[in-house]
Amino acid sequence: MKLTLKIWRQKNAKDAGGFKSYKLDDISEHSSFLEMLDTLNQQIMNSGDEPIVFESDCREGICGVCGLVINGVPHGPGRGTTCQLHMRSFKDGDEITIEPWRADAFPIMKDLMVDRSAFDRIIQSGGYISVNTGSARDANEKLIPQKDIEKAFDGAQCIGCGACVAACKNASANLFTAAKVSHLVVLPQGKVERSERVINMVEQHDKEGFGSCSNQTECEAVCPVGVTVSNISRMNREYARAKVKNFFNATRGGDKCKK
Amino acid sequence: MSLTPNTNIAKKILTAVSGLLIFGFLTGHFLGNLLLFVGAEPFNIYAHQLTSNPLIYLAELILVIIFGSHIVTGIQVTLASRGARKKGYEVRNERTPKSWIVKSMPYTGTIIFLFIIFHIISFKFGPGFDESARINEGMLYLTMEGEPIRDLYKLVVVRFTNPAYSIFYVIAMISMGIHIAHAFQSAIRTLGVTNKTYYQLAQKASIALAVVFTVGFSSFPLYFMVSQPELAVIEEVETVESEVIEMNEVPASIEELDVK
Repeated sequence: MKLTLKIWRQKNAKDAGGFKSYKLDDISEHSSFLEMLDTLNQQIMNSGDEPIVFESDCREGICGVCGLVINGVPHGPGRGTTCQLHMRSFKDGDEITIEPWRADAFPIMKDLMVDRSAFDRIIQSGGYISVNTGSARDANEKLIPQKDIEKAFDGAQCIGCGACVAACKNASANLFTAAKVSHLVVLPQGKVERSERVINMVEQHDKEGFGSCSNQTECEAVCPVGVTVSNISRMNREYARAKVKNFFNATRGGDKCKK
Repeated sequence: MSLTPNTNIAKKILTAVSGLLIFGFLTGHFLGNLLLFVGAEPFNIYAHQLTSNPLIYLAELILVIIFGSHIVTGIQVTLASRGARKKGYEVRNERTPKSWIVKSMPYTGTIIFLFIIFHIISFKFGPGFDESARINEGMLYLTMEGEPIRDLYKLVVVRFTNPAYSIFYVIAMISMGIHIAHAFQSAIRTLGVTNKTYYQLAQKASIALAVVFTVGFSSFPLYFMVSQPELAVIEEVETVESEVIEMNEVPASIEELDVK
C-alpha cells in the first residue's frame, strides 16, 4: 500500500505545533496501524530526524494508552482501540490525517502524546472504595444479582483511554467519570461512599476544565469497549440524590459529606 | 448552601427541571389560546380573569424565575463547554448524525428568547394595556353582562391578519419545535433515566411534543391569516363602542331630568 500521512508534530507542551506530511510505500495491509507508524519512525530515524512520539503499551486493546484521532475519529474507523486497527481498513493511496486527543484538560506533551493525568485526579477524588474486599475467592461470598453485575460491568469496562473526551464536541469527560461512578455505586461495596464519591468526582471533573454533556452520544459511538451513555444518566441521578441528601443533612445539623 | 449549582451537572439538572416546567406553561398557554377559535367573548373574558387576578403577579414572578434559570444555566453550560477545547481538530468526522439539532440549541434558544420579548411587548404591553386609553385605542370590549374589558381578541386578529407578522410567528414556533425535539429527551436523560425502553419512549415523545406545540401554536396565526376575519370583527367592535357611548349618555340625561 502507498500512503500519504498528515501528522501533527509538536516539539513540546509550549510549542505551537503543525502538520507535516510523510509518504510511505510498501505497507502491508495486514500490519496494524501502530506497526505502520513504527515503520514510518524507522524511516524517519534512518534519515536522522526525530521520530514521531505516540503512546502504546500492550497493543492488545486492553490498556487504552494508544489513542490517536485518525481522519477525525478517535481510534479511527474501527470499533476497538488504535492498536487493533489494521491497514486493511484503508485503501491504497489514501491520505490519512493523524492528530492527538484535543482537549484543554489533556495538554499535548509532544507530537501525538497527551497528558491524561486529569483522569487520574478524577479517580483520586473518589473512584475507589475504602473497605478491604479480601482476595479473589471472597468476591463470590457476597451474592449480587446478575442485572447489577451487568450494570456494574458496563461501567467497569472503561479503560480510561480518553476517546470520549476526544470525540465530544464539548471535550467533556462525563462518560469516563460516569463509568467510574456507576461501576462502584451499583455494587454493595461501593454504596458506602456513594454521596462523597459522586460529588467529589463531578467537582474534580469540572475543575480539570472538561466541558459538559449535550447528550449527543458521540462518546458512546467511539468508545472502544462500548461503555453506554446510560452511565451518564446514572451519574446525574446519583449527583442529584447526593446533593439533596447533603442539603437535608445540613439543615438537620447532621453529618455533611466531606468536600 | 449545598444546593448551589456549582458544577455543570447541577446547572444541567436545573436547565432540565426548568425546561420541563416550561412545558407546563406552554400547555396552559396553548389551552387558553384555544378559546380564540371559540370567539371574542370567551377569549376576552378568559384573558380578563387571568390578568385581573392578583395571583398573576406571583405567577409572573415564578415564570420569570423559571425562564431566567433556564436561560442563565443554559448559557453558563454552553460557555463552559465551548471553552473546553480551544484548539480544534483539522479533520472532524462525527458518527452520531443528529448533531445539527444539538448544535442549534443555543441559536434556537436565542430566537425563542427574542420572540418572547417581542411577544410580551406586542401583546401584554401592546394597545389596550393601559386601561384609561382603551377607548381611544379601540381596544375596549363590552361583555354580554356589560362589563368593559380589554379587547385582546381584536388585537390578536389585527396582528395575525398581517401575513408578515403571522409568518414571523410561524418561524419562531418552528425554532421552538426544533429546540423541543432535542430538549425533552435530553432533559429526561439528564434527570437520570437509564432504562432503554423509557428513554426510547422519551425520544418519541420529544418529537411528538415538538410537532404538537409547533403545529398547535402556529395554528392561531395561520387561522387568522387565512380566514382574514378583520372587517367583520372590527365593525362589531365599533357598534359595541357606539352603544357604550349611548348608554353612558342615557343615565346622564335621566339624572339631569331628576335634578330638574
